[in-house]
This record gives sequence, C-alpha cells and structure tokens, in this order.
Amino acid sequence: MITGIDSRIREPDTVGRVDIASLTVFCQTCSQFYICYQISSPHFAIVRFTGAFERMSGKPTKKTTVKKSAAKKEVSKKPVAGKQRRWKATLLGLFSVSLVIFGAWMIYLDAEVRRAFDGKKWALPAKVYARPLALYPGLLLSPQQLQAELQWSDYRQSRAADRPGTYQRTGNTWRIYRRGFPFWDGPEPSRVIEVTLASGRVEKVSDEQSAKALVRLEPQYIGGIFPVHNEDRELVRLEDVPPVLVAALIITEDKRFFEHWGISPTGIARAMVANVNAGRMVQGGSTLTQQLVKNFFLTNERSLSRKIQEAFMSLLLELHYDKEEILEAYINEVYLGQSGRRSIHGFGLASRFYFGKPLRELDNAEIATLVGLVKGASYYNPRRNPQRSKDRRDLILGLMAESQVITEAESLRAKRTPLLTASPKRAGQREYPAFLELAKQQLQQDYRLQDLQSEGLRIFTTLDPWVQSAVESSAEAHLSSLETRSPRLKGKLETAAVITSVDGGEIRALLGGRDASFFGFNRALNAKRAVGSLAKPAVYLAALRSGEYHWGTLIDDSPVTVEGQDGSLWQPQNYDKKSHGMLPMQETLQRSLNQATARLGMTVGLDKVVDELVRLGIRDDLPPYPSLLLGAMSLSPFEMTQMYQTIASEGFLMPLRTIDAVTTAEGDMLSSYAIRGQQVYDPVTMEWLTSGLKAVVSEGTARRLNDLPQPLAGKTGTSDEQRDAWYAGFDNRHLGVIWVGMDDNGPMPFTGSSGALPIWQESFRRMGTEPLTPSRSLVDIPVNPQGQLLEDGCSGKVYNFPASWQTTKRLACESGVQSIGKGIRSWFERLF
Amino acid sequence: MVRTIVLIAVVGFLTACASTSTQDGPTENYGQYQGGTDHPAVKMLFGQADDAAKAGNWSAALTYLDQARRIEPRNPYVLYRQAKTYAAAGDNARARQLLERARVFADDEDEMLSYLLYELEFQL
Repeated sequence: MITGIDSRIREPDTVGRVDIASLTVFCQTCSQFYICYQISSPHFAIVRFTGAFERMSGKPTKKTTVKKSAAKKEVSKKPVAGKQRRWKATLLGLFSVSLVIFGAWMIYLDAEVRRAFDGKKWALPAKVYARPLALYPGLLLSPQQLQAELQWSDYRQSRAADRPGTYQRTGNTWRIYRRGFPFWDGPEPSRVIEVTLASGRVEKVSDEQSAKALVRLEPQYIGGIFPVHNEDRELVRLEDVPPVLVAALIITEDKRFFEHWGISPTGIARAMVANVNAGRMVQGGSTLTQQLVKNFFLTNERSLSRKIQEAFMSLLLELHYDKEEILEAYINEVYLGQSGRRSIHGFGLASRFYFGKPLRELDNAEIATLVGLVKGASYYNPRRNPQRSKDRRDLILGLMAESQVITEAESLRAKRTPLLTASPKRAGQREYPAFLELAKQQLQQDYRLQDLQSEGLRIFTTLDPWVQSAVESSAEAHLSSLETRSPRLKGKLETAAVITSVDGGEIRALLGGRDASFFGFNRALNAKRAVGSLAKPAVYLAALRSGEYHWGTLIDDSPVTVEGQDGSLWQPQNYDKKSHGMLPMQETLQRSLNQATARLGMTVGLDKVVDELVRLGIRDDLPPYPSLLLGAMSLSPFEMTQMYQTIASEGFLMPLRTIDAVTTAEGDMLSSYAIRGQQVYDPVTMEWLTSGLKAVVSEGTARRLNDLPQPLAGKTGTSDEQRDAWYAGFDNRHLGVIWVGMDDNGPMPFTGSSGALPIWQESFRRMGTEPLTPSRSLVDIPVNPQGQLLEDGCSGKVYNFPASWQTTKRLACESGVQSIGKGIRSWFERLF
Repeated sequence: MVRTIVLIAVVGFLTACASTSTQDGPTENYGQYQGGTDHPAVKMLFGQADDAAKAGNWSAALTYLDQARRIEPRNPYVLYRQAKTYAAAGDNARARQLLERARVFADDEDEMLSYLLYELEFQL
C-alpha cells in the first residue's frame, strides 16, 4: 500500500533497502526509480520497479575493425593450402550445427519455462474444513468446549483480545477477535465478538455494536485431498508477506537478488573459494532464481549438465518475468517441512504449520526461524532440532540487524525469545484420515479426483472436532483400561466409531481405528463384522408392525431348534446359557435374550425381518438364514449406523453425509448438500420401537448409562464367542455406533456392555448429552402379567402403545382372563 | 366444521396477501410465509435464505435453511421452507420428501401450517 511519496532522491547502498523516510528512491546502477509499496517496519521497506528494467549499455566494441584486419590477413595468406580452408569450413559447419542445436535447446527450455510459469503454477489440493462453530443464544456449549475450539483454531489468550486470532476470558464472558474467513456464502471480515455462557449454554452473543442472533467462528482445517506427491501449500501474494520476511530471505539466501539476471558469477566464484578453502561444500552459489528453477523444474540430481540447464533456465525466467513474480513464486514453492504424508511448501503454510498463525502475524524471531528452514527443513526443524534451529535463527537475526532490516535492540529482543512452536498435533494441523476417506468418496460422486487434487477447492464438511475429540479420547482411554484388565490383549484391541446427527444424518465424527491419525484400513467403513444383537430391533420391529404384538406380549424364552434346508440344526442359546420362560416382549429385548428373539423372529417370519433390515437401510446381501435373527451377518459400523439412523430419526431414511458445501478457491459456491431422504416408516411405529430401546437403557443391558441424563435409547451387541462388542445408541441430538474387537477376529472376554458401551458413555458425557424428548404420539396402557391390555387406571405394568391401540377392547380391572385380539400362535409356536 | 371455516378464512387471507405481493417483482415467484419460528438465529437464516432465493441462488438458500434446520431440527416450518425452496428450484422429488418430513413434526392444530403444506402439495 502506498502511504505517501517523498520526492527526496537518494542513493541506496543496497538495491531493495531504504530508510523509511525515502519512499521514492533512485538506483544509480540501473538508472531507475523505485517506489516503496509496503511499509510495516520502522526501518525497512520493500521496493519495486516503476517501469521496465533497463541496464546501462556498455561501450561499443570495435568489431568492424577486427573483421577488416582479419580480411587483410586472409588476403596476405593466399598461399595457404585448401586443407586449411576445409578445416575452417568444417569448424564453421560444426559451429553452425552447434549453434542450431543450442538454439533449439534454448527454444525448448524457453517453452518449458513459460509453460510451467504462466498461469497456474501449482496443483492446489482441496482444503477440507470442519463445520464452523455457529454461536447463537441457547446453543448447548460448555466453557471447556469453547476453550478447546478456540485453541484448536490457534487462538491465543491475551489480556485485551486486540488483534485477530486472540481472545480474552473474563468469568463466563469471552471476548474473541475472530479472524476473517471466506465462508461458503462469502467472506466475512475479522471482528470482535462477545459470547456469554450460562448453565452450559450460550446466553448472549454480541459484537461491538449490538446483540447478534448468530455468529460463526471460522472452521478448522482438517486436511487436504492431495496429489500423489502430497505437496501442500497455502498461496500468498507478495504484498501479503511481511517485508521483514522478504528482506531476511534475501539477505540470507541471495543478497544481490535485485541486481543479477538469474545467475550470479560473483556468487558462484565466492562459493567456490569458500568451498576450496574449507575442502568441502560449505556454501552454494545458487541465486534464489536458480533455487526456484531447481525446485520448480528440475530434480535434485547434482551434475554439471543439470547445473548448466539450471543456469540457462534461470536466465530465461528472469528474461520473461519480473523480480516480484519470481520472488512470490519462490516464497510459495520452497520446501519447509514434513507432516506425516504431507509436505509443507511455502511460507504461508509453514507459518500456520509451525506457529499456528498467518504470515502477517509472525514476529521477528518466528520470521528468522522460518527463513532458517530454507537451508535445510529437516536439519533445522525447530521441533526436532530446537538448538540447531535456534542457532540458525539467531544468526539470521544478527544478519537482519547488520543489514538494518531490524534494529539491534529488536534483534537482541528476538534472540532472547524462546523457540516456541505450536503443537503439530493440534486440530488445526492434524488430519482426520477416516473422515477424510469418506468425504473423498462422497465428493467423487460429483467431482473428478484430479479436480479435487489440483483446483484448490474448499470443502466444508460436517465434522465436529469437539465430538471427534470426545470419541477419540474416550476410545483410547477405555481400550487401555480393557487391556489392563486383560494383559494378553495388549496392543491387539481395535475400535471403530461413527457419530451422526439424529435429524440430519450429518457425520459428526468417524474413528477408523485406535490410532486416529493412521492413513490405512478404515474399520468404520470397511471392517465387516458380525453384528450380534444389534440386529435384534429389526425382529421386534417386524413383530410390532405385524399388529399382533406389543411390548407386553408374552414371548417364550425356552430352548429353540430350527432345522436348516441342509438338515443342520440351529440351536441358539442365551448369554447366561439359561432359559427364562414366558416374558413380556420388552423384557426379552432389554435383556437381549437369544432364544426368545429367535422364536419371535421365526414366528413373525424370516422374510419379514429381512424386509425390515432392508427398509431400515441395510443394502448388503442378507442371506435368509435363521441365524440372521441374532445378527450372524457381517456389516460395517457405518452400515449399522445407517440402520439405527432410520430408527433414531423416526423413520427417515437418509444418506449419511460428510459434505455441506463446496466452493472454488475464489469462494464461488459449486454445490451444497442439504438434508435429503425418504420417510420410509410411519413415525409412530418408530417411536414405538424406540420405547423398547429406551427400556434397554433404563432397565436392560445398557443400564450402566443411568448416570447420564435420561431417557436415552440403544442396544448392545455381542457376536458369537465374543469376537465383537457393539453398542448403538442415541440421545436427542446424536447417534453413536461403537465397535470393539480384534483384527484377527479373536475372542475377547468382553461383551457389548463392557467392551463398547463405555466408549459411547464417555464420549456422550464429554460431548454433552441431551435426553430424548417425550413421545408425541404414544400413550400408556396397563398390561396384565398375561400380556392382556387393561383399562386405564388398572394396576399392571404400563407399556407404550400407539394411540390407535386405545380403541382396542381391553379388560376391566377386576377381570384379567379375557383374551383380546385374535390368536397369535403360528405354526412355529405350535411346533415349539 | 370450525376447522374448515378457519381453513377457508386462512386461504382467503393468504390469497389476498398474494394478490398484493404481486407488486413486488422478485417476490412474485418466491413468496415465503414469514412466520414459523421465534428463534432469532433461525429468523435471521430465513431472511438470508429468502434473499438468496430471490436472487435465484437456490444452493445458498437451501444451505441457509439447512443451517436453520440444525438449530431447530424438528420445526416443521423449516422443513416446509426447504420443501418449498426445492420446489421453486425445480426439484419436486426432493420437495415431496421434505414435505412429508414436515408432516412428521406438524401439529394437527396448526391451521396455517396445514394450509401451507396442502398448498405446496397441490403445487407439486
């Protein structure tokens, strides 16, 4: 930004550096004026050319004279033999051919340089963001969550919250200086907001003028969709780069950058002398332009031919592009570190990666640290080699003071600063491999992979980092505790989890394995495991929908034998190996009794149960074997989530989705993904089924959840020989499905209740639990011990019924023997 | 009988409103009932969705409404608006799905909503 023009002309001692007062400067060497365009340091400014670069021309040579004298010599040496002429002709021919080859090579190099440098220089990976935290009065939000979300977004606590990226907490009031961000619906500038919390909810949101209905914090970056080489970068424009950084880079890497034409013979000579004196490679003679050419066009091969090519390409680059373009490209290209599979390129991304803030917020010490990485990103890595990095940083700070980029006092102050970097594991820089894999799969339904890898798209997803964090930490803590109880399983237990929003099917968290940062086998999506009793609600749903059963209907839990088509016998047993006689249907579900459920399923009809599974959203082939009634089929946690999603949402079958919106790199919206689905069940039926699942939590196998706000609904699941432990449950906001098992499918000494449910329990405790709302359509009807409906007010166990059952003929209170409805005994019941 | 009378009265009232709104060009093709929530954030999002819809930016309108749905996930008016916007955008199949979803949470006593849902169903 030009802040003013000073007409005073002076001669700068180094091109590119002037005192602050001189906004217009003159360079004697190149006979050009320069204008400062960015002033941010009291002692330093960056300059750029006002017009085309013109060098002073040299003295004319006397080529004509030379030619004439040569001609004279030729005439005087007439007697020379034709042999000499032939030699000359040959040499001339060779020279001409070489010249042609050289010219062709130069044309080729020139085309290469221009092709790669014109227009889009880099394949920009899609940037994937979590959901933005929308703050509005009434939102369930604990102080812990707000604090964590701010820290994960690299906000720093300060006394005044006086610049973007800082916050100040006073009791329950948080003053947050939110950064500007290009949201899916347009950019929002940085602004100060105040959030007041009370009783675990947002009480008030306001900015500096008035109360606000809704304010968004910027979403966290959660990963990218990278090209094969996994290069990541955050492009910056030169005018957005702190001048001090540019100066520090130039004085450290290429002092004569503004003077040379791509190569620096003096620099090469100086490096050669230094290397010869040292007896080894201690100094490189490459200019910034050469370094850029090497990184941009060439390989790391060290050979003379590559060096020559690099030199010519540098000259060509300088011929076609001005210094600013080259500098900007360098700042975005340079390799500055590694984060797992992702290579960190450019100062923009490096600033966020190492210090958790944008370039313009860096202080002198941080700038020097980053510039120090140019020489060796791994060798001077401030996290792995802090002392080495600090030494290098201090050296550069010294150079900066020496060149008057900063004052001596500033340099000393910066040197006293400890080498502080942001944690590489914070949410803002870590990735979420399991979630990203699913997001990528879903994006590829609408976008080509190569576009996702190269167009710099912005992907706004449904991931809730707070929920993800709760699941990850709960899973790790519980698996460690299980392994403490069973040391033989140490390191063998694995897990997977899916958390969605009940009403929208948005995936809020996805855990593909115990190591949440592992890019590999994603158990949540791909581990097909026996689902055990998690399938039972489909059996009970088929029974309820038949119109012949209610939760008080008596079911026989005696041994059951079913003969398969091949003559094999299926004889399921209860977990406790006992039979429990006649029990109300609700009790058989809440206790997860296998014999009763198998009998019920066979009575209702296997095909009916399969139909319910399909209607609930299971798309895998379901072989109609009786063992399917007890969950012998193998499905992934994701597929089980789909099934329970339909139940939790009162019968709305909707695709589970990870994507909210996609915009171009410039912020134009390409697509949005709002709710969609189909009401596949009458909501009353689903509420009725849910009332049974509530009993599982209040009185059944999931009753250990009683310390959470009630009511909740869910179902435990354990496969044969306890190879798999499951729990699927939901509160008013979220559905969670948890699986625990071993990759080798070995048996475990745990059930769904002890293996998986505690992870759900702790996750929901941390996330914040909201009890299910009372049923809108069910009524309470007392039922006698024989499973017969009684009139209102009679003593008997009360069960939930759809309101339509109120008109069913019921027994008077004194009675109790009158049968209702038609007989329900089927051929199967009569048989057993 | 009373419900029928009220329904007819509401239809008459809305018809009158519709005839006056024709003066405003952009809202002629995309009129939204302005009630249905007391939540300030949802109201704000309704407004943003309306602005986007009037500008023909259906994607943005639907995303604003989906944000409103997250705040009040079982508010049938939010789902109705989503259905109506899908219909306006020409996606009748999706509109029908959300219309049906709105009915799940609709209160039978809410005559206004009953009318709106009926009207939209008729339109589809």
